[in-house]
Amino acid sequence: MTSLSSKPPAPLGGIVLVVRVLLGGLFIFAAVMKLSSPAAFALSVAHFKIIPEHADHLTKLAAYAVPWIEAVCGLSLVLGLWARSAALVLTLLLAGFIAMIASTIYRDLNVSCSCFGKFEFPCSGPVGWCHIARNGVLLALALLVVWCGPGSLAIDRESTR
Amino acid sequence: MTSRLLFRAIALVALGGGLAIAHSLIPPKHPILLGTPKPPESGPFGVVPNPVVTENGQSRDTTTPTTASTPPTQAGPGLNITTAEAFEFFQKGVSFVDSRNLDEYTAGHIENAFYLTADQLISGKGLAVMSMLDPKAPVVVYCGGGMCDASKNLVNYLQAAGFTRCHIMHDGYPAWLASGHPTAQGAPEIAE
Repeated sequence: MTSLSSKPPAPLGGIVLVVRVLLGGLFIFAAVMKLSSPAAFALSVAHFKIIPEHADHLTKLAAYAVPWIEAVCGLSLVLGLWARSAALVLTLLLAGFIAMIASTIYRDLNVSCSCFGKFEFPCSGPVGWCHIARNGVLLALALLVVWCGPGSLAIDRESTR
Repeated sequence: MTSRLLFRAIALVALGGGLAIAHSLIPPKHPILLGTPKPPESGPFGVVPNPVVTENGQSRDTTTPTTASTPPTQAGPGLNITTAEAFEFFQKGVSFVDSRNLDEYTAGHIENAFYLTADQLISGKGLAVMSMLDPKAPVVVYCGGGMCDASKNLVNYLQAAGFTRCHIMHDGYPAWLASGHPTAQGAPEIAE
């Protein structure tokens, strides 16, 4: 797997560092906002109607698990510790989010995102194509970290030196 | 290399999951209330305040129980009511609550309906509206109809706050509008 080398060319290392820290910081912020009100996020999860109504315990689990996984992976990205694995997890999460949003558009549901708690940027209102585009950009950035490794100033890099 | 990548990814998910389970064991400030609300208790309709100012400027309260001719029955309307049943409640002065988003309320809502959502209650808002409602009187909650869950979510939190006679107008505002019943436009007088 030479394509998954953890040593990108020097100029790319700086770019990956910026991407890694921004992406990690964004997911930590998203996690904190969701965890500040698990009940509100649980309602938002329920509105997507992905989890059956009789399985409310799964909705509650998702309301806690999704933000905590975001927080752990976000912190991992910022620190550059297991950064590539964290980016892989976030890639899968973002792919799941995109699929869920596409599903709500297809089913014509009027659902609020609650992606960043009470904050909505750059998209506002019910989930739609703007949210898919935003998550698509974030997914591309996460894939960059998966592909190139942690970049500069990463614990991963220091520990393998 | 790839196996180590996957192992670490699984470990991160497991760590997040473990923290989530630990966090879920801490009682939240606002409980997570999901599922179908309880059926409403039956009873008389609430009292509709009807203050009248007399000719000499004094206020005379002509409030009358709206149930004067309708004694309480055991088999009242259920949790989900039709638009026609909701209109009967409306004519008897029962309070209506719009649980859609603010933009939808402003664009058009049932006449005299309050604006209140589950999200507001979770975030500690909506107390002014709650204080305007009688917990022991019927309350009709509506949203956009169809697959809209906003009414159900709000009723769960209203019931937790002691409102025992909540009804959901199942077909929502679109059906009310199509029926030609009284509507109004504009922002709510009490938004939070």
